Amino acid sequence: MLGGSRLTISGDGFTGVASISIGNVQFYLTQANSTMQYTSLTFDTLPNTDTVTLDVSLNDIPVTWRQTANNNYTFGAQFTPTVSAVSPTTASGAADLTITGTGFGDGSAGQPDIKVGQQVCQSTSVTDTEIVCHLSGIDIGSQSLRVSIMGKIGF
Amino acid sequence: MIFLCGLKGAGLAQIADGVAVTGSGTLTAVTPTSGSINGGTLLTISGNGFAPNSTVSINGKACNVSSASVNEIKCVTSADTEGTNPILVR
Repeated sequence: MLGGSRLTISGDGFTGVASISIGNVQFYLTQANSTMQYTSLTFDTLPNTDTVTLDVSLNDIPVTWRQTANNNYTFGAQFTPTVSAVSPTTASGAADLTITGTGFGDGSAGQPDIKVGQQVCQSTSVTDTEIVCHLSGIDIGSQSLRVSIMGKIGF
Repeated sequence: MIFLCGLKGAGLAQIADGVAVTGSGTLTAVTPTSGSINGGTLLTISGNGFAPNSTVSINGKACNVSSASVNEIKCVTSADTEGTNPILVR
């Protein structure tokens, strides 16, 4: 629901200026927020709720979906990973953190992206309910976590 | 054109209220531990919690920062009279 999901659209003939409409929100893809090859288009979603349709336009011309493909995309709590705790809660240098929660997947689609304040915490192990990551240093004061999961949900 | 949509990522996690890690500053090592009264000695200070705008001084004389990361600062000493003094990092 918080967005930040990396979506890949596969097909044929991708060229020109691409834009994506998710529900009633349209955004143009740029080099900074997406990658495009002839047969695939990869980008990150923005925050949303509900089930919305996903439409692709190239050079502002809408492209059609194969009739058996489903272009519905669902933002939902059931697909949103959660973090309930981190341990330890203080650090004065390099530390291994254990992050507890749900929906972390198993890392097979890519390592989770974890930040503690501005510092990267490099994941070393991933299960659906626990991530262990290594912090090489931490800024002074209370630092919040940002956890982005690359878990394959499938279609 | 033929399209299939593949969902590849679960995205950003919802972080529960209060989940945070609190960092504190430490100094763990400095090298070298002595140098010329004319200054110009490059010190490497190891620890945690350093910031790009951190400053270093010894006996009130600035040690001019040349690089800083969260766990290491390098600085160049200023001239000072003989003596042993603590290193102060702000």
